[in-house]
Amino acid sequence: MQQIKRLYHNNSIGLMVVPLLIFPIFAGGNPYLMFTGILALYTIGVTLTLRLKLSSYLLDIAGHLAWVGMGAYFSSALQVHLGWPFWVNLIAVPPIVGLISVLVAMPAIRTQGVYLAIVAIAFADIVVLFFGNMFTGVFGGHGGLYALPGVNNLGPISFGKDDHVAYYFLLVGIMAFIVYILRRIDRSRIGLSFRSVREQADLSEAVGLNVYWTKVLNWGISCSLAGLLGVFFAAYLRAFNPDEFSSAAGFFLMAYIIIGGRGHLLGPALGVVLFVVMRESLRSLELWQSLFWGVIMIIFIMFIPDGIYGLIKRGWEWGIAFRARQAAAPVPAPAAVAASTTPPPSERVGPSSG
Amino acid sequence: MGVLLEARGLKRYFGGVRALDGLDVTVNEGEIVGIIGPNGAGKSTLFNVITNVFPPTAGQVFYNGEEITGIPPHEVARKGLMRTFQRNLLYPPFSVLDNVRMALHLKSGYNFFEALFNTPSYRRKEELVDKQALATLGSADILALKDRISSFCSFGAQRRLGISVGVATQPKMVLMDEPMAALNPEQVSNITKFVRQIRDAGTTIAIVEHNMRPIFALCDRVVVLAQGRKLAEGTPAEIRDNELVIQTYLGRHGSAAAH
Repeated sequence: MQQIKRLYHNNSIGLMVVPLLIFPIFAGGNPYLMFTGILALYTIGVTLTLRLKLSSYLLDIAGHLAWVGMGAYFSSALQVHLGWPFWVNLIAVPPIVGLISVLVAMPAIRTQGVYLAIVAIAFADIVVLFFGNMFTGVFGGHGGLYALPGVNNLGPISFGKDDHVAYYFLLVGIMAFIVYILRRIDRSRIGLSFRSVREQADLSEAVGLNVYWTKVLNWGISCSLAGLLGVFFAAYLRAFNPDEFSSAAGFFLMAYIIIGGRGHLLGPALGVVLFVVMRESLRSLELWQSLFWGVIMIIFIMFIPDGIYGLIKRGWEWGIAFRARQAAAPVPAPAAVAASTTPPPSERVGPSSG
Repeated sequence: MGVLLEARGLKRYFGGVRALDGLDVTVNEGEIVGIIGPNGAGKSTLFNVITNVFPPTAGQVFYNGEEITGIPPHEVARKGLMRTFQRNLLYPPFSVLDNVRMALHLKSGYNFFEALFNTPSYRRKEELVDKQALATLGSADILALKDRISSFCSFGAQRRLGISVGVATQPKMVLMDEPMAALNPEQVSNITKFVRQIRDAGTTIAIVEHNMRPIFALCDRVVVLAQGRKLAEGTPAEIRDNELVIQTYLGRHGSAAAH
């Protein structure tokens, strides 16, 4: 049983690779499917970077898209006005976004919990207003930017308007990079210290962790990776406006994470896939869709707080336990099953002392 | 055997409440010092002020020959002055091993980029931390629980883990806030043994406690606090016979009746 479990844990990311590689074979000829698939994959990336912030209870959910937007705007401006090729922007823009995010975080992170969420939402809307009203010659005002040059051709690989497959694999590469970084963080002491700040900041401080800079570091990494996705977003869509990064759009990220589950990297991915499939198949509902999503969210928050990933995981573990019981082996301790489900983060707001 | 920790004229007011009111305490290297007193005497506040969770209203704290008044709590820990908490303060969803690994992160000393690129030196340091963590759990006698989620452990095991988190880095000194509260007599004697073992490994200890009997058995010196001031100080035997202490604990009528 231990072996099965380990295999499943080590390969849950690997399981994702197969459908990722097969998808363009099925959908390659269909621009609509490719477009939907690429945007879904991009959204998965954004939720993954957001999940890093949530691991430290940094509630920048609705504001997170602002960092994606910064990446998109900066790379577009650099490409159009300074002629920097996309490939340079891909490397140069994320650190710029990360630096700005650290400067914003330094005062913002003095607040905690919902107060931080309010600061983040306000900041997202400031970003939207900034790009909508300032430097309209560069950022295009509220109408946004359009007719952008896209990704520069790379040798024989062309990134034209209809080369969805090329864009798809570029995005897969970016995602691989992001997942690699997130996994390394998750498994090292750095991920441990990020989570420790959420669980018991007082204790972390007492064992010598600089809680403040730990949060700032987490924020900076998460935002610069979001900026990286923004660079891709701008180059693929070639047209966007500031409202796409507003806090209103950002609330959908919360839906993906709650529906998909936050216990694992795959959780938000499941949420996005389900959301996209449902949205595309429920197009006939039009405006009623929002109502439908509201009901779904309430059901998930009340009855399935660990999301679809949690459901699947519990089912899987129940299956293993069931087979073990069938084999007349001693029943595994319930603690072992319960132990492997991550409890939700404590909803601590103020500092607790005592 | 020099002075390791010294608090001079320490004051901490919460509004009109004088939690600490001009307190002088010293702890010598290698000692176990007990700090006792009735509820509200300022025992826990003393630790919180020493580690600067609450900055002192007035007064100074010296540790290992340098002033540590007003430096942030994580810096205090980095200087080798650790503390354990009153409640079983742990990382509830972490495994027992991860709780101690978190405590050892100070000693691991690798940086962000080493971890990202999984360098050989990173792996070596990580292995070393794991080894130290296992050794810590071994000496706390909770090695068998290493993979269990800490909030699923028994109360006694959580207490031992809480102390282990404080002493994992083998600090020069540790402040223990009520390590025996809410334990049964057998657990108390186990913890007493554990504390002695930590001292024998070279760590100076100050304990805040309500339980008199283990404190008198364990400590080299006892400091009695009342209303933020030092009431008495001395060996356990001296404190036990101290008239003032008896009065404070039993009340004036109690002591009058005894006469």
